[in-house]
Amino acid sequence: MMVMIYSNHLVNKKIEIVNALKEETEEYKSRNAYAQSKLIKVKMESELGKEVAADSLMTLESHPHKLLIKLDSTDAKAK
Amino acid sequence: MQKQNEYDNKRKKTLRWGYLFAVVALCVFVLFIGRIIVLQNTNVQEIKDDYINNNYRTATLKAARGNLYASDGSILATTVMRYDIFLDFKTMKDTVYTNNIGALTDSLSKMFGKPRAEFRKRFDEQRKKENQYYSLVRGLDFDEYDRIRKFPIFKKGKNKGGFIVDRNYKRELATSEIGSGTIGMDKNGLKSGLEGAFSKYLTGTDGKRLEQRINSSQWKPIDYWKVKEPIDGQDVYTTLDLRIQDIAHSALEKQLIHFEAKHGTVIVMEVETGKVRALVNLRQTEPGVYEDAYNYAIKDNIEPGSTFKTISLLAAMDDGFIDEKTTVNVGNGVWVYAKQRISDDHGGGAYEISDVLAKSSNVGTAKLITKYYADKPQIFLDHLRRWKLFDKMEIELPGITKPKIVTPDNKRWNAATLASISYGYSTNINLLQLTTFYNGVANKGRMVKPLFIDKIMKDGKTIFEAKEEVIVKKMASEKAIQMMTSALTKAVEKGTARSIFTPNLKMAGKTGTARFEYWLPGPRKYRASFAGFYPADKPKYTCYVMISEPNTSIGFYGSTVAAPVFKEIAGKTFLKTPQNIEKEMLVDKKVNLNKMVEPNVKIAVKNKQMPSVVGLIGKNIIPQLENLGYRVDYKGVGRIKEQFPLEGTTISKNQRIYLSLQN
Repeated sequence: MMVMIYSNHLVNKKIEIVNALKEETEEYKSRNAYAQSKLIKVKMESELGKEVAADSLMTLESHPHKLLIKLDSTDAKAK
Repeated sequence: MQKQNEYDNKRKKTLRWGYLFAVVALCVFVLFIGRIIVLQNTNVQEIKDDYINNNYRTATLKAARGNLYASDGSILATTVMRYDIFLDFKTMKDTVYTNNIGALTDSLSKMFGKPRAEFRKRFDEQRKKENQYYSLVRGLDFDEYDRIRKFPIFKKGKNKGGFIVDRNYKRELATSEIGSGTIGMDKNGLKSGLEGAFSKYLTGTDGKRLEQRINSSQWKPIDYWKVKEPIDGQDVYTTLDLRIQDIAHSALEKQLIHFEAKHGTVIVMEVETGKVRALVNLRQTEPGVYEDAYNYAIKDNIEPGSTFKTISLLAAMDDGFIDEKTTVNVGNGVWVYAKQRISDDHGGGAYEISDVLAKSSNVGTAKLITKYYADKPQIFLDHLRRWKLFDKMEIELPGITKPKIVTPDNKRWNAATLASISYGYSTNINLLQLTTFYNGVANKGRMVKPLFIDKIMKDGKTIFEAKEEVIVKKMASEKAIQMMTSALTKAVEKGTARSIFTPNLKMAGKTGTARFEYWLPGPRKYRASFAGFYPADKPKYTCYVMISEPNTSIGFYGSTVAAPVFKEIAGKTFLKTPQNIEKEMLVDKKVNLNKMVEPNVKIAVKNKQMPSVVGLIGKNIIPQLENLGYRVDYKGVGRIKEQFPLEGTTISKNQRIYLSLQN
């Protein structure tokens, strides 16, 4: 009888630990989601544009040129 | 005698105890019998049920809702935990409260931007009332919760600090503004956007298990063999490309604000697959403020105006009625047909077919279409039918409208209707279907169905992968498609959309300026549009831009209102991957890099006199001045445009030098 009561008590204790861990897992999942969400936002060009505008940098409005450069310098190899 | 008395006394005493015991025993017996009678007449089942209800429960094991992703794997919508904070003032000890309340209200004041006195007053009141469940704040995110739980008093926890936390799950968008309407929601039976459309995949199946109470707040599972495990929802990868969606959103928003328009839509579709890479719908909520709320792209049928001319002329090209050599005389830009006045902005005499499209001539289009189809409009309409412009499109998103095009069997049909249809009136169609048509032209006549799902995954495994679905194998002859592509390219190079021409990216497209609600009195209302694809030589994306009700005093033409949005999207899409420019634009000569890079000019301060630095490159000069011991204040980037002190002014060490830079 005593053994049964003690083992039941141990089981209850473990359940409490498992529940706490489950809650912690959910918190970490949430944290991960928040971090990902922030990362996505920071990576967005519209957000970056706002950030760099403070440093007098403007985002390109039009398509960039593709330059084809042929070197005649003797130091550099032609590409 | 004395012995007799002693015996009697003892007997009496014993008997008294005996009687007392008998009475108690009788009472117990009566109670026992009474209890038996009560129990006999009581519903034992009720007691049993009460016990079971209080100590056992069938717990629902909530299935996690799947995540909604962009095609590149960025989360669009996910389920996160939110925290509600309650305070139990009864459990807070007096000493703890009085010693820490100042620090706590300080911290709360900083966090929520409210005066600390306000918190102090509220807390003192609630403490007096001994409130054990005072709601402090709801819906905190993890960062906020992590911050607040470390505040004085609160860090002592539930039993000493009276800090009670309720955790709730909430569906949230990772990118709060971008695409909120497109992503939508599935909440309390209200379904919208992708969340609503893909709910059947995202929603899992809840599980069940029996639990027994072990204390006031903890339950333990029992009867393990009876547990029904929850089945989590599937992860849906949409076709949206978050980068293109972001570019389209900001480009459209900027233009809507500038033109004070009521609403606008952008659709970007991948030519080969029909995958919708961006879908933006913005509606004005107050001047200068726009939100992504209603899906105009699929839920609104509109009279498209000139962007429909591409459809009309492709029909005539496919039937071989017109080709590059065909000309049409648009006269002075006014033509009356079947008592209907058709006009252009300006006349032009004889137009080639490419000019009709490039200059968006209503007269030219109407003359051509009525010339070849007035007697047999059904042939013209059959083209439209073949291109699925009469059918409600079958897509994954709910609520798409069925196009309405007036046909000869309709009582609204009259002698002028065909002309009217040819330049985009008497026809109501949603933007997604128009985009699908243009995408077909870009895809060399192969019309594919617009797709919104890329793939569906469960437990890391792909269980569904979308494949292109061809709706029309061959929209028109190869020659007709080629002619149309050239004409649309010409429209950007030399036609109505020449304002967006850039030699760096070849684009093809058609402007549209359509009046709507023209039957109503009051100021004129316009829809400005631009439909096209890029790069024109090897199209990768098709894009449709529509801006409704711009302020006409600022502008209302498709070329000035909608086309710049198209250009910005097209340009920025390829920002990281510049396209090859045309061969004739390449300068095939050798260059000397040393000649290209300006040498770093050394400056010197002689006789403590300020040298001239105007025209020099700021990034070279500023460090030199600083190394010489001057403090430099500058604004802008590039070359130095202005300087202060001026050249020749005597300057001293540590003097502040002001420079203005400009590219």
